[in-house]
Amino acid sequence: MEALHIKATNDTPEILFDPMQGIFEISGKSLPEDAQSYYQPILEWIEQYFENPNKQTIFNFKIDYINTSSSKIFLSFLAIINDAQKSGHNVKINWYYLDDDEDMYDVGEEYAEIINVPFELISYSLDD
Amino acid sequence: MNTNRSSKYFSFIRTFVPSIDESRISLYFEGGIDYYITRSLTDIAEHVLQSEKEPRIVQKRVFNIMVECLQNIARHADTEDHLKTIKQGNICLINYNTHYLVIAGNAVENMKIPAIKKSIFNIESKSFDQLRRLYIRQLKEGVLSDKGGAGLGFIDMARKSRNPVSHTFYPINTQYSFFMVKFMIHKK
Repeated sequence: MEALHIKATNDTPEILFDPMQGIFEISGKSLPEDAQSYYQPILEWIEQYFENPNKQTIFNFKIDYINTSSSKIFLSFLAIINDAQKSGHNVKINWYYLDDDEDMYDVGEEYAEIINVPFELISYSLDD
Repeated sequence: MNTNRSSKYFSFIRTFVPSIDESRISLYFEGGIDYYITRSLTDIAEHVLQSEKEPRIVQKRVFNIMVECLQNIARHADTEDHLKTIKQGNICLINYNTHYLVIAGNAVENMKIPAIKKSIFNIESKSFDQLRRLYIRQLKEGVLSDKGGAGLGFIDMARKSRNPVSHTFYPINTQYSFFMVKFMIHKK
């Protein structure tokens, strides 16, 4: 399976999925008006990946802004990861938030509460 | 800033917020609101907030609330003028010394008022923690509508503003009313 790289736009994040390394990154703003249409092919790509995944898969979420339509779709992402874990795959989620952004911390904490996957909340600063 | 606004919807804001200091308005727009207008308006808001050197968390909260308000209008507004194909509404960002106000409005069919009132009553007088529980429940149980809404907008805006949400409806005619909502975001 080839890597998936989608460049960031004003209202959609950069997607960098590397199936060889098992490292999947989503970073930037996620504010599309119709998040369902935007993310559907990406969700399908991940489902396909989990048919034959790496030994370990790490998801790095580094989101600055998220609208509520995207919040809902991100839960679909996490549900796929959750199902992969239930099927015996080794998965982990890193949720990065800016050190002064309690709102993005809260979003991560809420996802961690809903799903049952190793989930680490990692603070970073713009100087990092 | 122009204080002689005579635009169609601005008078609703004056009635809704009688104490408004129009000299503090950073941004006012009314008219068709679609993807491109939303993007332009939020770009302007982002620039205003950066130039005011607000703490990043304040910038983000105001920005996020504006995005949700504009996307709500683009998704849900009804248009009493059937010649207009783009959803119509208004948005106002006011910069006071201690806080920002975001006020947004759009026409709605009168028969939809009970459902909107129900969504608002659902978040009124809720503590931050109660809003959080409500958000998680809606996130898990809600489904995306065919318009792309997740039923999370008001809950999320209420908790981001960390202040009570005000709303009102002004009758336009027998079929439509103008729905307005106001969020206050304190500067830290």
